[in-house]
Amino acid sequence: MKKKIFAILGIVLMAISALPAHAGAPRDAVEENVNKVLSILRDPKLKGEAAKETKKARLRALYDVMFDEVELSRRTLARNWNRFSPSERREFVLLFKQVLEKAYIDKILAYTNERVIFDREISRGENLAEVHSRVFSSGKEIPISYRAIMKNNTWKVYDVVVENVSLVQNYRTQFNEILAKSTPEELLVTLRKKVKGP
Amino acid sequence: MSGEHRSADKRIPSWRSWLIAGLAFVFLAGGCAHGPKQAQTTQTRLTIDSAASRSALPPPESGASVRTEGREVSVAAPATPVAAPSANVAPLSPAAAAARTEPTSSPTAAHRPEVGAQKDGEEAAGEADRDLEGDFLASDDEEEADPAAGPREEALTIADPWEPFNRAMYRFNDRLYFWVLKPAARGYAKALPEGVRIGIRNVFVNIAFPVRFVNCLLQLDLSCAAVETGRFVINSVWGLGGLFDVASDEAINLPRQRRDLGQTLGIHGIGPGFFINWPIIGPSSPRDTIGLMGDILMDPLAWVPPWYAATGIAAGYRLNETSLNIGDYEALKEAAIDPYVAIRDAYVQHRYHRIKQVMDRK
Repeated sequence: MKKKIFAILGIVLMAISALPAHAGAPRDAVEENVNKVLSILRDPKLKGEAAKETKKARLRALYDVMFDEVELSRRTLARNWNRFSPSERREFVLLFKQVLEKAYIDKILAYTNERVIFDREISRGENLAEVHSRVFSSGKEIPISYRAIMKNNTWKVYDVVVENVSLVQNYRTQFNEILAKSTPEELLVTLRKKVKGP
Repeated sequence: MSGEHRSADKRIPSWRSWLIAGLAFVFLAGGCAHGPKQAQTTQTRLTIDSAASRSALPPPESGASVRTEGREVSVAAPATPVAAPSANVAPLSPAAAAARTEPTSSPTAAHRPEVGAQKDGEEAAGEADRDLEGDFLASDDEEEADPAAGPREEALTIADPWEPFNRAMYRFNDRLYFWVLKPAARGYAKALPEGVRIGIRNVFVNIAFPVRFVNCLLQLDLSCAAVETGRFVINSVWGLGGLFDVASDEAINLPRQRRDLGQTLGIHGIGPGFFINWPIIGPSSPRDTIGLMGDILMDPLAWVPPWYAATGIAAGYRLNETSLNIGDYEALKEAAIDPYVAIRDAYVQHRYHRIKQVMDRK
């Protein structure tokens, strides 16, 4: 009887370890990338205004590694994604990335001494996971979760949840309202202006 | 306690009665005109949610299934500004605000719900053509295979029948922030180092202990009430009158319980109704407005006589809080395509999770 249980356990363990989800834990992937971001921000060689562009360029490269920008855009547009032509989608992905960069890059560059702690990860299905972390800044603790999807054996982030507010959901609400009244092309015009703007 | 209350009642200044009467009128009028339908939807949803979470086995997908049934689901959310724009929209009463405004603290991290309901919505979008990663040319056929995406993605929304008023109040609050609050907070921040301002915040939060304690009880959560009592004693004594939040330190690990009356009402199945953006107070709903008024009445600082002293304390709290959050609202505004909608949605998400977190614990 005992042997049988062990045999079953063994099979179960083997089955679990064979699951693709174990190709790399999402937490490890996200943590590794966040640590890379922090090391760029804290790099003593990159100080002052002059090094700002270098930092930005490195962060941009890292963004492409860490995030799945198409997934992020598609989830943001949700059903409206279907209204966009392939070329409009391509432009949307590009513009949306620039909007995000423009809005957050200075905030991110201002982060240096913040402490980041990674907590648990939660599996949200075969290839979806949510990784919880906390950032300590000015005596406050800010919970930040990364939602990641696994494709081609790599975990990539498609949504960031800061203090329970999902970035994707927040933009989706905005785009939904805009696209209820205007066409995809009109939204792209708005985004182009936003990217170019002051 | 009850004796204290009675004497407090006698002291209600007339401005406060007028405020309450006015808000109650507005709430009733609004509720009759626009609210019922939306409120009902929400209520159904929340009831189901709470039933699901109470059944010992809160299935992570419970939200999703509910969502699929009800096309339009709104979110429970009391008068709480979202963390990011809190500078702009912090509630009037300092202590009441302290009970709710600030970002979710570390403690709650342990109890965070596994899956945000809003998540399911976004999933819908990706599910159909998930494997077409990077493929901008996803064919129409594939997309049509995803009819569920439509309604599901509306999961976390709130009715906004007052949009013109709300947008006007958004502009008012925006100016209030940039023209008055922010310059004042900047000067204030120059005069006091950050550590001192954090200490001041801690004092406000500590004094507002009754708000959280009573709400713990109203939520039938005794462990929450015990933690709050312990915190109050520890921080008042060891924390030098609440100046230091020693109870939150890892050694003691009694984190602040973020409980407010709007949340309590939400937990008991009352939906938010619709979105209201008050001047000065900021994002709210009928339910959360009632909640805020109740929290103010439970806040000792609101009872400091004469009435203008209480108002001054509230303004001081707001100033202190703003000084600790300069830049948050600006970033949110800069990042948004439509800042008004962005703030409304952030409020909705924030309040939804405040309620869900508590229900998931039970």
